[in-house]
Amino acid sequence: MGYGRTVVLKEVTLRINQGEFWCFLGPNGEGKTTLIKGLLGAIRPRQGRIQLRRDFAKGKRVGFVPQECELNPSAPTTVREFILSGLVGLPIPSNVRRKRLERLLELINLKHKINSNFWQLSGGQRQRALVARALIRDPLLLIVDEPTAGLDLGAANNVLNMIQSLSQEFNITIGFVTHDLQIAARHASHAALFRNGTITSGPMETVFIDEHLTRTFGVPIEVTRTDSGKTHVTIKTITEKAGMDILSAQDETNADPKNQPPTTHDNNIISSLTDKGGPH
Amino acid sequence: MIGEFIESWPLFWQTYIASILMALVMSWLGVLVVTRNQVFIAAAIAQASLFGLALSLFMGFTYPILLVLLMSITSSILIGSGSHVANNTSEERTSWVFLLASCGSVLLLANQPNGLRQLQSAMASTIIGVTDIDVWLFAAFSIIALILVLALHRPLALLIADPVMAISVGMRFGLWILIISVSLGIVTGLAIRSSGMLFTFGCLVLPALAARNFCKEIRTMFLISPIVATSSVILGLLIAHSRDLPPGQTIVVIQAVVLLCSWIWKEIRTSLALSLSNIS
Repeated sequence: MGYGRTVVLKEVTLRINQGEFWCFLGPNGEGKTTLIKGLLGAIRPRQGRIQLRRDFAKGKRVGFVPQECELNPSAPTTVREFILSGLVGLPIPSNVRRKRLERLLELINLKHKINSNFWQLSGGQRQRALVARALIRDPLLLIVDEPTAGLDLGAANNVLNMIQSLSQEFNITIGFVTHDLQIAARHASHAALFRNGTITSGPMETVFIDEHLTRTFGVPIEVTRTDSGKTHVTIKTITEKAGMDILSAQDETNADPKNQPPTTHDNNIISSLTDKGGPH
Repeated sequence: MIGEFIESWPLFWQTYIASILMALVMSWLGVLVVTRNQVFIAAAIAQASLFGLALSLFMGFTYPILLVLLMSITSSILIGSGSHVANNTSEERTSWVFLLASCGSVLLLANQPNGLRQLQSAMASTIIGVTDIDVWLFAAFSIIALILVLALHRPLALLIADPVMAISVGMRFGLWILIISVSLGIVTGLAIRSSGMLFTFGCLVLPALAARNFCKEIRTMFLISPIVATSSVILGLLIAHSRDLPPGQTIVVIQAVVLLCSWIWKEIRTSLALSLSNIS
């Protein structure tokens, strides 16, 4: 899978089941966004296949929150119209449309901005509007591409908490692209690590370990887990004077452990979203 | 003034009706062009159409309209749909088409004084010469465009504003852009043949630019742009008739004045909104 003559992802096997919160982790340019473009149908694999549930393949129950708003600034839009644009392609009656909009505006706390120009919103408000536009489709799969990039700590936290609560309350499957190990440690149930065109994937406790993270990011990373299931992530760098120096703070998580072995790069690209019995 | 205009109806009714219908169709297409930040695409397509006319005069071709249409559609697809062969941008392709077509058409007819005169006449606007066929043709285009705008205004708005989201909800982006490009090429080519470059270019971009300043949403631009276009054509025809002025140029000047007013309106509206938000 790639662009033009450039191959970005090769030898990838990934299986995602309903209700899982996946974090796609890896340095820039390793294919995280390429994979989600594949899942969205924007690019097709040259070999292998992406198997999606039928309504996912038609884009009906899939929501997408991009890294940043790629909205054309020349196109005027209000918050209301922006969120409603997420319903394109779905035959939704106007009363249902209106109810969904009202519910989401309350959820993201933007009811007072309904008729405001989208471009006059703050970064955090725009990001919440992007989440609302994805959710108005009533998705079963929500693909989120670094939604907290460029947001302040408070705004980022709000967005993350909203996404995690959606995953838990409505059993929505989340595919979350991020560089941030702290976010993954705190929220994800599964992780996929991108490196050199391959993916190492599986439940957090089997994939989110020192060895895999260090290999993926190229810096020494230490992961410790407490008896209560909390995870500490420590990123270390070697400095000239002090030797091993701890740079990054720690974080904790209550990630639900599942003892499954990590899946590591098989032959062809087969990223499949499947339920327990069959395609999800 | 209005009495004299009505008296002239039996003599010039094709001109009046065709001008209004052309402005109507161009104003809807103009919304797509302006909101995609491709204002100069219209100039390039118009120039490519003139190149088709020059080519047909040079070759002594019996049906110049065929070459005019061929050139306008080809240039529209080349610029609008994009070519990834050399990673060039839409602006680069627009410039290339515009300059090549401008120079090429003059060079082809440099030694044919009569042909050069015809080319210059097409560059200026001569809407007086429209025929019954133009009236019926643009009446059909208007009806088709109206139906499409009513049925597809929201998908069109999403396509323009956020292509990635459009793809993720299952829209076939490439196909849509191809359809828009071909439509733009056909309508522009036929309008140039009937009314000249100035009138066509003016009606394509000026009403849509004014509508963008008046509106907060793309959806409403599809309503305001044709209102600006048709009312300026009616006013322009009235003034041109009573003052014995060329109608095409008069209409374009009126549209330019409306655009100026829309800039002022937008400035006032933005200042007022800022003042109100500061007070609150």
